[in-house]
Amino acid sequence: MEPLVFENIPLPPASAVKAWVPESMNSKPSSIGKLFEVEESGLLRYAIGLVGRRMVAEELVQETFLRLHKLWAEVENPRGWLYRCLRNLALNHLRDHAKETELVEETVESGESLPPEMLGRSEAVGLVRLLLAEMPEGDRSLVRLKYHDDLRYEEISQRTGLSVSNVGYRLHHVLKALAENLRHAGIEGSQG
Amino acid sequence: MNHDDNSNTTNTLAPELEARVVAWIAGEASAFEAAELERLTIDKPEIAIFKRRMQAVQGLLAEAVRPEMEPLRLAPERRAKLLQALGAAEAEPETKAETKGIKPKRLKAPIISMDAVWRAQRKHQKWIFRIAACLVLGLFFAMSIPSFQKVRQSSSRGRGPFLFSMDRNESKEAVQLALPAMERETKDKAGFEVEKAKLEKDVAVREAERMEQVSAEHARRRVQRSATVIPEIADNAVQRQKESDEVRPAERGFPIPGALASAHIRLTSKDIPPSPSVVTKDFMNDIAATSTQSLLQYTSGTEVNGLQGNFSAQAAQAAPAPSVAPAAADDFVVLTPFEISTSTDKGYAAKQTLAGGKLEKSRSLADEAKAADRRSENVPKPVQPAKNPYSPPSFTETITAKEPVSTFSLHVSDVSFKIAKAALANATAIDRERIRPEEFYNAFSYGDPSPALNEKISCHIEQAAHPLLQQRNLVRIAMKVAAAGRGAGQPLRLTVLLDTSGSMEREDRAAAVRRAMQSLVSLLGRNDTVTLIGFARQPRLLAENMAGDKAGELLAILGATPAEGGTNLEEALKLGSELAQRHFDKAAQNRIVLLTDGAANLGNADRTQLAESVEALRQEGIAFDACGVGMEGLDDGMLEALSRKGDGRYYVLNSAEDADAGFAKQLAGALRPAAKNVKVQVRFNPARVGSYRLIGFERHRLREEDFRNDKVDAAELAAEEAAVAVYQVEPLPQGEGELGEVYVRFLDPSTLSMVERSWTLPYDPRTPAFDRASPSMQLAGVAALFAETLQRGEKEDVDRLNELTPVIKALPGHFPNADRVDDLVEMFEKLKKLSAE
Repeated sequence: MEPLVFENIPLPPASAVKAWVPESMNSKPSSIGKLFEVEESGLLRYAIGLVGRRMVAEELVQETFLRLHKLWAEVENPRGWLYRCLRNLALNHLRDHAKETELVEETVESGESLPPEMLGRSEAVGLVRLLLAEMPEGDRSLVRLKYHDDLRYEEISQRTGLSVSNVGYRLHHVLKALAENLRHAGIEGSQG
Repeated sequence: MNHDDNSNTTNTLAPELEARVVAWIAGEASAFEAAELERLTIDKPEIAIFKRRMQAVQGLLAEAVRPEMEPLRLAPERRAKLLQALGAAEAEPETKAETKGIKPKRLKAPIISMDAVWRAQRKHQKWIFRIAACLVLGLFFAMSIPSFQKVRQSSSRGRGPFLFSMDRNESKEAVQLALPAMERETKDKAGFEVEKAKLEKDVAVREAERMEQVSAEHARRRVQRSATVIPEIADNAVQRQKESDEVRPAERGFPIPGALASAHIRLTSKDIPPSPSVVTKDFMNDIAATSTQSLLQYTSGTEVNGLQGNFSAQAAQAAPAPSVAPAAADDFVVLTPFEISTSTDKGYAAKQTLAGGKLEKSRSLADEAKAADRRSENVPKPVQPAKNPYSPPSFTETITAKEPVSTFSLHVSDVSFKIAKAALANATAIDRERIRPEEFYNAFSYGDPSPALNEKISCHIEQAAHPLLQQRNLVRIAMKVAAAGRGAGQPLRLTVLLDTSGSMEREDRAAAVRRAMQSLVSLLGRNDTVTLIGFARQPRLLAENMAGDKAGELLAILGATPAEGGTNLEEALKLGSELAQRHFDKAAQNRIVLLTDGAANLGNADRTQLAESVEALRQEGIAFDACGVGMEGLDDGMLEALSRKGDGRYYVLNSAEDADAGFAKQLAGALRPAAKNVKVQVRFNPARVGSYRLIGFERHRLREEDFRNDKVDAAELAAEEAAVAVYQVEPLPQGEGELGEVYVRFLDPSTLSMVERSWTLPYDPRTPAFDRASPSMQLAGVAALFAETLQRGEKEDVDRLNELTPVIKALPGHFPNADRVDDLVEMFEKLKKLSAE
């Protein structure tokens, strides 16, 4: 006998509020330009690692950013999106050009013929960045504190409020998951 | 049962061993741990493999996270163009040098050196015309010719030469037919696509999006023939942009790209309002903003839902911060939302009724605020949350004949006492507002008897002649809750000692422990913390001081902890008590819970010695609960002894079902308040009491009818907690009957039923003089009178209080172990000194 109550309920203000509150850290960078400044090098390296040719890599990076630019409003995790997109583009490229042989001139022109192990390394690092970008925020900040800021578990514990053992536990899981993902992608360790 | 090390060497390592290895390579392991792991590595090759893998990942991580030594950059030209394409999206004419990473459009050139720009421009001067044309045509194709769309679609399936040539024919026709329409098209659609096509042109050969590419290629050829079109378009664009300062001056030689590039800024934002990635003047006007700096802030991850969807007004944030809590930082009384103004003229008849929550002793203001928030969420809101911060207490007596009933919420706190103590110690002015007599006389423990076994609450009533007033008595009414639980606001510092010896691996026991932990975790709040120690041969810290609301992770840890080895209870107890002491919180309930399935078979397993250490813990305020898992092999006697010595509980889990019913219920008793919504009503007998006055509780008074209105919230009491109310009454010697009756009503959380009890307030014709009354009566009376003296802040009162000096001096003798009583005496001395000055 109750009337349709839900019709009377005003729209929840929570969602509106949420959208208007700027997320503090680690949210979407304020502009694609800034993101570009930060990620250009890493992406380019990754692309080079994937396709092995500087020219193609640059093209792919450019294309990635252009695509992101179009979708900027919709992409929630642009960093992860960039790496993911670049990887897909690179894999597409490799698939489509599987039968191409590199012309000598082009190699000379690009001036970037990296040794294969360097390429492997770049690819692996790029993949790690991709996985990092797609990681939950908490784990990522742990990684940052540990490997970027070089903090000890104890210091991390103080900053995050997690217990020391929990820091260790979570980092262990992060590393293990990364290793698993890398192996899945055909990269066993740093040797490429 | 407790078999020693089991040789469980499969390929996968135990997670905790993995964690240790990770800690090791992360440089966290102590020398001892490192040596131990080194040894293990030699024994078990899979550890070495795991270690190598982790090291590799760690190397990659470090490289991935750290900034690069020599950052790679795109080729300068490509970079400039890309930046332009991207930058166009955020070049905001109003924010001049605001953005750091990327400059506003006007300032974009410096990103690459001017020299490079110049060179690039020279090199591509020719191209620019072509590009402009390409994109115009390309767009034109895309937009105006449906048949072309079809070709596009079909051609995207494959890229044979046939499709290619067909496309070429189509587009040739189209261009010739529709040239006049082009301008209109450009106006609306030049934009991002322009930049994109331009770049694509530069890149020249690309596989992705090949149709656009192809059309651009064609367009270029077309353009060479019909180049006249371009200046027209460009002029048009320039005109449209005249008022904009974006127009590139012609002296540099390329008005067209500048004009086009800037044109699209406005166009995109105007044409595609739902997702404005550009802030233009028009946009600003649309949202009635005057400056981007003050107004707009990009937010992320938002759905595109209208013009303002992606922007949040900073102004909203910068709006005057919600007025800071009226209380100063050291004021713990954060009851403001619950406070009610009592009307002075009406005596006790407060308009509304509100409960004070129990204030914890050492909680910060912020905690209180949070708690208040939570309370206000859970609790049915008072009808009119009055905000009047303070109304001076009424010292007038209520005439019983007019208003025989006094109702209030039984609130227990000692905050006011502590504040006053600090103020007196520093000889600073006392904020009279913060003097709440009930928090003075409730600051003491009077040693009132606990309720009988089957009673939820007990009431103890004492009387004495008022020491300072003629024909007045003081009546102390003390309620005490049964020992059944813990106050809701009281945080829990829980240390769980979990037996992980080999015998615990048994499935039924593991399940029981799991269920037990689940119910335990479910009872924890965010103020609680848990420390989990697993112990077998050696105790190991699994989680330290984990916040109660994150305690769900314990279950994961539990699942990842293997069961192996013997049972060394001694070591576990040692570590447990060390950690419990480390995280000891006076205001919290500190408990150690031991979950074990068997007898201690390693280390010192002497029952009396273990019991002694537990007893020592208890004396430090740490209770000890024991929980036996499984019936066989359980050292029942020892666990019972330990928990008895530790003032804790002892229970046995025989199965997972037990963990549900028994364990959780028992734990609930320990973690939840024993009585909620405690209200007291005193009905005085007008034939015996001429007038009365409740000392204190000004803010906790209720209307008579609210007593049985369970929607009106009131205070909570924890287990074994006593709450005291002191009345000043005028007994009529020639009257008849008793003084009155005391009613108490509260919610029993264990049964969720309301409990109501009543006691008679007897009339004693030979009420003892104050100095001959019981010590607890004296203490309560002194505390109440002292508080009211502070509250009145008048010198005469201090002088009158002086008469009580002998009684006050004698108080510490009656309460030898109560520091608070000494404090009270000290405060009294201070007050005397201060008022004498």
